Amino acid sequence: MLCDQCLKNQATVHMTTFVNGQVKTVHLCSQCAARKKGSVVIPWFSFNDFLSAFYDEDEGADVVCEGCGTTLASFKKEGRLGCAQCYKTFESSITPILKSIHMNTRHTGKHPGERVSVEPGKEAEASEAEQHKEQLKKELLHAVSVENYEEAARLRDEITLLEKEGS
Amino acid sequence: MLTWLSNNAPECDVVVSTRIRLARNLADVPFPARISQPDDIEKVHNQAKQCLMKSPEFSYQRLSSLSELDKRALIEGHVISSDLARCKNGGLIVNGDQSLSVMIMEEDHYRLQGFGAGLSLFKTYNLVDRLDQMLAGEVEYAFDDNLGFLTSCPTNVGTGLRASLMLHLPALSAAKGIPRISSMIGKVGMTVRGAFGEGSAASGAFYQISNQVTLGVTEKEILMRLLSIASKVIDFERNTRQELYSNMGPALEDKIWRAIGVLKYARRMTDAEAQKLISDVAFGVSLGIVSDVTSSQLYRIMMNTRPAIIAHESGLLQAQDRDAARAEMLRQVFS
Repeated sequence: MLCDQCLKNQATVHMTTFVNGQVKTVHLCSQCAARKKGSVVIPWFSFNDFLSAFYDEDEGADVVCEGCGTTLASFKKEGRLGCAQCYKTFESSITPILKSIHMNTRHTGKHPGERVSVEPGKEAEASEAEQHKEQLKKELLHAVSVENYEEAARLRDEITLLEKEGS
Repeated sequence: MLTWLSNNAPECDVVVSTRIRLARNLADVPFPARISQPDDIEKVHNQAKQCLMKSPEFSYQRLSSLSELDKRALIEGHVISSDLARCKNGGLIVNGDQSLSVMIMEEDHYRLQGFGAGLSLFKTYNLVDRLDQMLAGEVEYAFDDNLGFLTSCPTNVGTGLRASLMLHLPALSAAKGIPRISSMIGKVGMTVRGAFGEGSAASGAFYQISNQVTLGVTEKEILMRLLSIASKVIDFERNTRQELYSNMGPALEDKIWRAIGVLKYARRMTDAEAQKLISDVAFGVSLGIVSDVTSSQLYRIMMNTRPAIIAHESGLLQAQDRDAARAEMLRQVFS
């Protein structure tokens, strides 16, 4: 995101100001933020502040990506990678971030050019199946409450089956 | 004017619209934050242009050729992001009703997006996936067998897929249930936020729910999970609506009819007031209290009376003139 004021640098300061009772959020670079005075300023955390929690302080800060010239220090600061090769260059720094955001480090989705088959009709079916399952759960509770355990066991098996199909 | 918000969309008493976004980059060109060679920038624009402009439904624009007003209207219509509007090398490929588009040189080289009315995750995904296949047939994407589609920010890597639903949750919001839902949804890798304005309390109870996790799950899993969560939220909302109605029927009816009264006769109306009143009336439609408008009609008029969209259509630049034009458009709907 670019700075609202100079429209040149990356905005690193996100602040909410109260001026004449109006709440306003502005995104500024550090230079423009330093120049801004007079209003009550609450600095917000940017997403990058959270990411930085996963880095080792200054370790390998001078590693440079051959593909685009991005340094590890600038990636840590801006939270953006410069090119495809950066993922290899900074692999050891990126892996912990991926684990914490996605709980995973391996793509299981499609490859370029592949078609994902999702049938629009399935959407209505899926929500109908969900409703059907809810109905069965209500019936199950009822069956248990009237001590009809034979019926309850049948309903439980049907729900388990539906849950398996749905996943 | 927004036309893709069609009538009788699935679950339209709660779901306003569906949005699908895919983040994609070219293999051999630095990502937008690091791109500097004019040839590289041209390549990013031209490859998408050459590939997609074969289809007559699309048109291409350089962001630098658009006026500030054009850009603001596109932002309000959710066709482009405010980041793209500020980007001097940005471009846009968009179809006639703006339901399918590609943002060029935003955070990633390409952001493919599609919109659908109501709950239409699969249908909308299929449209965007077709666009993705068209591009993949001619360009080489930045892709890694282990990490999937490589993106500028590690939060999008893998599928690059962000699926979101705009939900109208007046009852849950009146019952102060949003923070609870929000924390539950957070636990399953998804997020809820106000649909208008960043993180602020949504005016008119419109919220966006979307997936956060993009890596280690398939596209279909992302869609199915969002669908299951959304189905739950839809049920909660519907039950709470009934609950509220049976507990405070007369007060609720009064609020809804007052909203109609104001919409029918007001001569000036701000965007925030319109959102609030339209939200009240849409609530009334879902309870069967109001029957001469549909929820789709209401969502459409709400989107089409946003400030820059009115300014863009009518050339009215002063806020009070727009407020008058907005009041008139609303009166026509409710007369």
